[in-house]
Amino acid sequence: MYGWMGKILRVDLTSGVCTTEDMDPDAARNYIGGRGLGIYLLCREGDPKTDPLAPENPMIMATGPLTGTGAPTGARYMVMTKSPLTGAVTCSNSGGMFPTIFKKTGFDAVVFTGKATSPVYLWIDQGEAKLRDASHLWGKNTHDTTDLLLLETDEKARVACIGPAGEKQVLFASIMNDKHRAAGRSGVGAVMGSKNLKAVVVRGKERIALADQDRFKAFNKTILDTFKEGIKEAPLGLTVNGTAGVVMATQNFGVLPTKNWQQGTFDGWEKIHGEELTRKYLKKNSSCFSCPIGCGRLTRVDDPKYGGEGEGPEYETLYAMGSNCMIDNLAAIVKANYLCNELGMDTITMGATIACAMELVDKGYLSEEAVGRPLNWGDADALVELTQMTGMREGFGDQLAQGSYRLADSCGHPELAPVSKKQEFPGYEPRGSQAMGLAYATSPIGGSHMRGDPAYFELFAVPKAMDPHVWEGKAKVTKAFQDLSAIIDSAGLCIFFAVRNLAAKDLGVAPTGILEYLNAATGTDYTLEELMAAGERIINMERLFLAQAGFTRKDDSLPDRLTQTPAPTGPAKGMVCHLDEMLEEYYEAQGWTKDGIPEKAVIEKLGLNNLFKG
Amino acid sequence: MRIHVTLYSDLKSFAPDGSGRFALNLPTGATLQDALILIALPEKRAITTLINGKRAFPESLLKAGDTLVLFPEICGG
Repeated sequence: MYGWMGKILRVDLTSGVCTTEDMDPDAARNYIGGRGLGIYLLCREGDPKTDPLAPENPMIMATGPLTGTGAPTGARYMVMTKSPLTGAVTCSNSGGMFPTIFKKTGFDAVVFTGKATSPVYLWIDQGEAKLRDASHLWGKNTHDTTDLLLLETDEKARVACIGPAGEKQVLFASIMNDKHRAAGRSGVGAVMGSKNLKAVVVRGKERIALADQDRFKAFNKTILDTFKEGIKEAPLGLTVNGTAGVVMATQNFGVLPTKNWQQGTFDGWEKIHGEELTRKYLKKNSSCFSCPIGCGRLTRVDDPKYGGEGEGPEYETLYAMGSNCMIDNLAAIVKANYLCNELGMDTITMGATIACAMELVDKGYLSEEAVGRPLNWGDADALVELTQMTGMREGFGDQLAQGSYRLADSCGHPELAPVSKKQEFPGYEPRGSQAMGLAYATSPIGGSHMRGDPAYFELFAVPKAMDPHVWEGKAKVTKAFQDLSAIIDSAGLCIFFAVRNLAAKDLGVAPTGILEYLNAATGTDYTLEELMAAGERIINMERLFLAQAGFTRKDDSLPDRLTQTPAPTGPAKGMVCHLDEMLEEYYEAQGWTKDGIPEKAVIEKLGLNNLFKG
Repeated sequence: MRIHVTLYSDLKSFAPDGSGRFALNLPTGATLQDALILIALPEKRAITTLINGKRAFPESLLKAGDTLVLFPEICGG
């Protein structure tokens, strides 16, 4: 095969046996790779009703056909499994160098099943895979684990691992690769920990063969030349301030979630936004493999209390741990971000859960005795201390480790959790960004903006501007972006480059550039219609997984705070999110029933009959 | 009429004193497009434009006392 390596590694952790199977060419064509291949394998191997932390829940790591090819931002891999945070499917993705080197071992994907009797790590050296003892690594953070594994394998190897949070099955534990990059969301690290799998270490040099090298190179040149022309006058905002630069935008639109989502503006925003991060703490930009943007931030804080060095924070972290907690101490946010990376936790859920705890205390639903310390809005020390305690499941951290929904529910006030499907939202307030509300509610993984990101057309005018306060007409565009995101995630690309540079410049966002890359790399000769159908197939397959797991329309929801309580401040003052109205249009655009289940005609059109084993 | 303008990031260099915040005098009935011409932003530059926190388009009308915010193309994640 071209583009694809043509092999899938299977690791049965219970027996310790590693086997190889050939990639099914039809599956490759229909599901592309990455997220699509992941959901295909998950449906084939797993049971949607399984306990996510049971050995029966498979965990899949999958690259895409463009990963490692040299296509711009072709550096991603996906982790697919059933999430312990949400009970839904999850697809958590990451970049860096690990995914490319993983693919160069000769495998497109690895499927983990079962559970090891004691801690192990997987060592893939070229095409050879074996499980090794990891007892000496258990309890170590992600940085120490990575350093030790490089010492005992090869300094040029690449590592993806969990920290103490994953071992202790914090429900939002991440898998960290290359130390600083995170498959962050939905607790994929907890699933890895439940399997006693500490790390995956890869060393590979296999060539990724392309079907038509000349065609690929010529197209690559055209795309990169156009990109370079576009940044001639000024560098991309993403390059200058990273995603942290978005704080300024969301504050000005009045959609910067603040005080546990009570409002969309934060008086202290200028102290936590990207320009301040760049000015005070940026050492240099960092890039994933083959990325012309370089949005990563290598930062260093020289501060007796909050000192450290690492990567980040991203915008989402600045909202979750900053405005959402009313914290304007940037050094403390950076420190808590470092801790999350080292302990192996998702910064969004961590920050949002602490903010939720702050409101529970503020309203008298949670006592300071239960927390073990005062917990006031804006308390930077509490942010850092509670983050550490959560990663180690110490004291009140053991409750925070369950995420905001379970915490708020245990206090009798689940309505205070900023979640959809029990997963915390990223940093865009749906009362002032209507389609974002729809995207959160219908994302297969729960609160997420990366499964079709309306911020592009509502806030950033890409490819065209839509009024973020208007809900009418948003359903079809949101669906188009969701389909596009499924294709980007499956091809192995990054949304930051692909939406702007590899899709049509209208709100239909057809994946025209991705089509050319895929055809040149794989020789598949997809038509545009076929590729767009693949995006729909992936979305619908995820939806069918959710239906089997017991999710219904009532789970496509937002907290009443966003749909019933008018925004109190900023440009969106007086507005609510019109989710119900958008959902009607959205289900119709998808060809789903009024309860959000794919209609028979859609299932047949996309060839999704008889999905699940048994 | 007089409006307030705030420019962010590298767009600050288009402000008279480089600070990013300044007042702009415009004729009554001026549009966003008129303001952009006065500020002398390159036509091809991709920017996001807000009037009083609401998405603005080239034909959007300005009125005295409005706050116009301009920032370069960015995205989050």
